[in-house]
Amino acid sequence: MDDFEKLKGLDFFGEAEELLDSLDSLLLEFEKDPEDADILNSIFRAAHTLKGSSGTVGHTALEGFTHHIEDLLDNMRSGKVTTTPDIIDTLFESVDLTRLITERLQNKEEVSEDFYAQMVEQLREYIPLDTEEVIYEKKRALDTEIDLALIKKLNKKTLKEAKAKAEEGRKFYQIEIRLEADCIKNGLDPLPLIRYLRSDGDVIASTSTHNIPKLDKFDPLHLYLEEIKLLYTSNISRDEIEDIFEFAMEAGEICIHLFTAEELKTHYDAELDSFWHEEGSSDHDEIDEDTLRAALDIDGFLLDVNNSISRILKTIKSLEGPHDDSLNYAATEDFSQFFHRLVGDAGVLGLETIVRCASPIELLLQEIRAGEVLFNEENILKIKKGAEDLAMAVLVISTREEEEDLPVKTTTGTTEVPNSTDTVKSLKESSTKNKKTAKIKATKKTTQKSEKKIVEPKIEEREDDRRELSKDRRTSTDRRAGALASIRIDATRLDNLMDMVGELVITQALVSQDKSLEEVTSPRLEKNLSQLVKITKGIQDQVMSMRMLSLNATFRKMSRVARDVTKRSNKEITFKVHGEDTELDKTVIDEVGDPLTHLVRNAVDHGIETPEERITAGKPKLGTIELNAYHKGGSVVIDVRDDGKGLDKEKIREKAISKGLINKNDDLQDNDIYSLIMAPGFSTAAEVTAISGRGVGLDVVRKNVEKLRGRIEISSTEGQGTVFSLMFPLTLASIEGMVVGIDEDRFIIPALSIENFSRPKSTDVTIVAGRGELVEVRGQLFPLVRLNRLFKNFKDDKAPEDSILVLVESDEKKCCLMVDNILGHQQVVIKSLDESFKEVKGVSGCSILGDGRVGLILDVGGILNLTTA
Amino acid sequence: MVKRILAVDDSPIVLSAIAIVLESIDYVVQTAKDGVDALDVLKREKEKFNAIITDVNMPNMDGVTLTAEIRKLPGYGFTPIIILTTESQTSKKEEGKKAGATGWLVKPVKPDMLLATMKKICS
Repeated sequence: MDDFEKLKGLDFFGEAEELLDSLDSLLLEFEKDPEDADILNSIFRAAHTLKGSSGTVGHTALEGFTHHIEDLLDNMRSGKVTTTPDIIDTLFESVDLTRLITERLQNKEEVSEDFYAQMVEQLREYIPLDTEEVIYEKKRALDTEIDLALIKKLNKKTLKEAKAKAEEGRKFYQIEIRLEADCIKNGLDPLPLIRYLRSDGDVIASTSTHNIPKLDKFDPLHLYLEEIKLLYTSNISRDEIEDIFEFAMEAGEICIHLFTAEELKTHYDAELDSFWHEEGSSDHDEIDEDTLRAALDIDGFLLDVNNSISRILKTIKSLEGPHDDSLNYAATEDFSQFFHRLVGDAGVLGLETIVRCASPIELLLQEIRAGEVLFNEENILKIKKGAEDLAMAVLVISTREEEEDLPVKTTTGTTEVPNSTDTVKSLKESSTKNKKTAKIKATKKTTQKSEKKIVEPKIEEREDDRRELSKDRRTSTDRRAGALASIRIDATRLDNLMDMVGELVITQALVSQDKSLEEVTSPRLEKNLSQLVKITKGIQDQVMSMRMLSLNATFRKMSRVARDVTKRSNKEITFKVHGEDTELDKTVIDEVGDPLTHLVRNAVDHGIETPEERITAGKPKLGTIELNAYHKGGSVVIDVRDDGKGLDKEKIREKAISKGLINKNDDLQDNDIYSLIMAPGFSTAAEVTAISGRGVGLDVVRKNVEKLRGRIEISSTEGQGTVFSLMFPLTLASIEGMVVGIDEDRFIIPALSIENFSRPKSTDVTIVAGRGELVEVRGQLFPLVRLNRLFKNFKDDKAPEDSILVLVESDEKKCCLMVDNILGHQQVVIKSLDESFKEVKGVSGCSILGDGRVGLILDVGGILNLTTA
Repeated sequence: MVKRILAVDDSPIVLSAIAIVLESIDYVVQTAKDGVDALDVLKREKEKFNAIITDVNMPNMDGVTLTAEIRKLPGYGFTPIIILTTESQTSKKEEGKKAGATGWLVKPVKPDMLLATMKKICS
C-alpha cells in the first residue's frame, strides 16, 4: 500500500524523541515517589504510545523491545510487581537502549533482536511467571449440519449457477449465524458482514422472521432474527470467513460448513432432479409466473413512489427560501397530480397503508388548488411530513412483506420508524394483505429487485451527503491543522530567511539614512518610513525568535545526568532547575549539552561533599545542585550552582605555579585564580574518579562555550559552594563588535576578545629578531600586528603613536592590533563570506554597516595563529 | 454514502496513519486526541459518525470508558466502535465488549486489516 509507505516519512523520530524525553523525566519523578500511581500511569502510557507508534510505522525491532518495557510497566501498574530501585534502574537503562535503537533506525541501520535480547531478559526477570500474558485463544467457528431445506429453497437457476461455480473450483459453504439479541447495542450489525461476504462471492441468505413484533413494539436495538442461514459460494477459505466473523463470534455462535464435492453432488443433483420433476407440472409454473408478475408490479410501483417522493421533498426544499410565486402554483399542480394518482394506484394494488397516508394530503392539495386554503408554510410542512411518512411506509412495506427471505435488513431498515400512529396502524394491515406475494420471493430475481428498492429512499440523503462532503473535508483538515502546535522547517530555509531579513534591515537602514531624503519635506513619506523601520524591526525579531528553542529538553537531560552520576557516587543530592523556559539559539541549544553535562558531573563529583563530610561541616546531608537560566543584559546566562565545598584558592594557586601557568609573585584577582582551573591540563581533584576523569574537563568546556561565542565566569565561596556561569549571546546571527577603521577600510573586532585599548608611545615598540615587532603594554610585551600590513594595504603606514592598539586575546594567546581609529561599538549582523574566500585567514565574515560600507569581521584566533606561526 | 469516522488516539502518528489509510477509500476521518476530546467532538458535530475507532490507553479518558460514554450519547446507541489494543490479552477485549465496543484491532494495525475491519462493521 503506497499510502502506508508515506507514514514512514511522517515525523516518527521526532515523536519518539519527545516520548523518550518525557519517559526520562517521568522516571525521575517516579523514582522520587514510587507510590505515585499517576506518574506510573503516565510512564506506562508514554511507553505504550511509543510502542504503538513504532508498530504503526513498521519499526518492528523498536516495537518488539518497547513491548517488554510496556509489559513490565503494566505489571507494576497492576501491583503484580512491586517497584524497587533496581527496577527503576533497569527502566532507565531500557530507555537509553530504546534511544539507541531509535537512533540506529533513524540512520537506517538494521537492528536485530540480539541487540536488545539481554535487556529483554533483564526486564522479564521482574515479571513473575504466572502473570505472563495469557495467550488469547481465538474462537473457532463450529461445523454445522447440512440444511437441506435451505438448498430446497433455491430455484433451479440459482442452483445451477451455484453448482457450476462449485465445479469451477469455488467453495460452497453453509453458514449459520446466531447472534445475541442485543448485539446491535454493541454496534454489531449482521448486515455489513453479509455485504462483506458478498464482495468476495455470492450469498443466498435466509432467516425466519416470526419473532419480529408489530411496529409499535419494535425495538430498533433488538435483533429479532434468531438465526440467519447463508449459502455462500466463494474462493475464500474457511479461515478467512472466520476472520470476517471475528467480532460476531464474540457475540454469538457462527457455524460454517464447507460442502465436500461428494455432498454437493448428492444434495445438488437430488435437488436439481426434483426441479426437473416439478417443471413437468405446468400448473405450478403458471401460478408462479402470475404471482411473480404481480409482485414485480408492486415493486415497480413502490420504486416509482420513492422517486416521486424524493422529487417532492426536493421541490419543497427549494420552496423554503425566497422564490417566485409561480413556483408555488407549479408545485401545487405537480403535487396534487402525484398524490391523486398515488391514491388511485395504491387502491388498485391493495396497498391500504399508502392510501391512508396519501389521501389526507391529496385532500389538502385539492383545497389549496381550489383556493380554499393558502399554500403557506404550515401547509407545506404538512405536505412534507406526509411525503416523509409515505416514504417510511414504502420502506416498511418493502421490507415487511418478505416473510421468508432477507428480513435481515429489518433491523437496519426500520430504525427510524415514523411516529405517526396513523401510518403504524395501517402498516399492520398491509403486512397481512401482502402475504400472498411472500412465497414467490424466494427467487433470486425478486430478491435483487427488493434490495434496490430499499436503497432507494436514501437517494436524497446521499446527495445531501455529497454536498456536505467538500465542506466536511475542509473542516476536518482545518481541525487537524489546528491540532498541530508546531511545524518543522528545514534549518537552511530558516537561515536563508534570516539572511534575507539581514539584507532587508540593511537596505532599510540605507534608505532611511539616504542623504537625498534630507531635502524631501513630506510628512507622509516620513511617517511611512518610520512605519517601515518598525515593521522591519518586527520581522527581524520574529525571524530571530524562530531559531530560538527553550532549554527545557536540555535541562531534562541534565536531571538524568545528575541522577546517574549521583547513583554511582555515594552522594545524596537534590537537583533543581529554574528558568528552563529561557530560549536560546538552536545552535547553542544543540551544543550546550556537552559542557553542561561536564559541569553537572563535576559538581556532583568534586563539588558536593560526601554525606559524612557535610554533616561534619554542619550542612544539610542532602547536597543541592541547581541549574538556573535567565536573561542578563543582551545575553542568556546559565548558572550551574552547587552548595559543596567550593574552590580552594590556595590549592589552585599552588598547582598553577607548579604547572608553570603563573608566576609565584603574580598578584591575581579571585576571578583570575578560578579561571585557572579551566586552563588546559589543570585538575585539582586529588583522586581521579570514574565519572569525571582526569582534568581534561574544564578546558574542553571552555573551548566549547567559546566556540558558541559564550564565556564562563566562576565564583566560589569556600565551604559554601561554586557557581559556574555560562553566558551566551542571544543569537548567533549578530555579534557585538567594535568597529575600527584603517584608512578607508572598516573592520569589526568581536567585543568578547578585546581586553583593552591603548595609545602607545613610539618608544614602546621594539623589534626583536625572529619575533617581529613587539609592543609593551602595561609592562608586558605583546606581538604587534599592523592590520594594514596584514591585509596588504601599505598605502599609509602610520606611526604607532598616531594609532590605537587593541589588545586581543584568544585561546590564552594575546596580541595587539594596530588600527587608525575606533569608530564605535555596535551589534552587527553577521553575513558569511562566499565560499571562495574561505581560505582567507583572519577574517570570519563580514557585515554591512549603517553607512552602507562593508566591514570585515576579524577572526582573532586566526590572526594570532598567523602571527605566531 | 460517505462514511465519517472518528479516530481517537493520543499519538498523532497513529491518527494520521488511520486517516491516510481510510481516506484512501474516501472515508472522511476526523480525529480526537483522547476520550474527553472525542466526546467533545461527538457532541459538537451535528452530523453523526458512522464508526469510531479508539485507542485503549490514553490520558484523561481511556478507550473503554470512552466507549461506555459514547453508548450513552443520543444517536450513538449502535454505532460501531472499534477499540485498538496492544495487549492481546482477553481482558481488554472483554472490558471493551462490556462497555459496548463492537470489535477490536490489535496493534500494530496493518492497513489491510483496518480496511477490512471497517468494511466488516460499516459497509
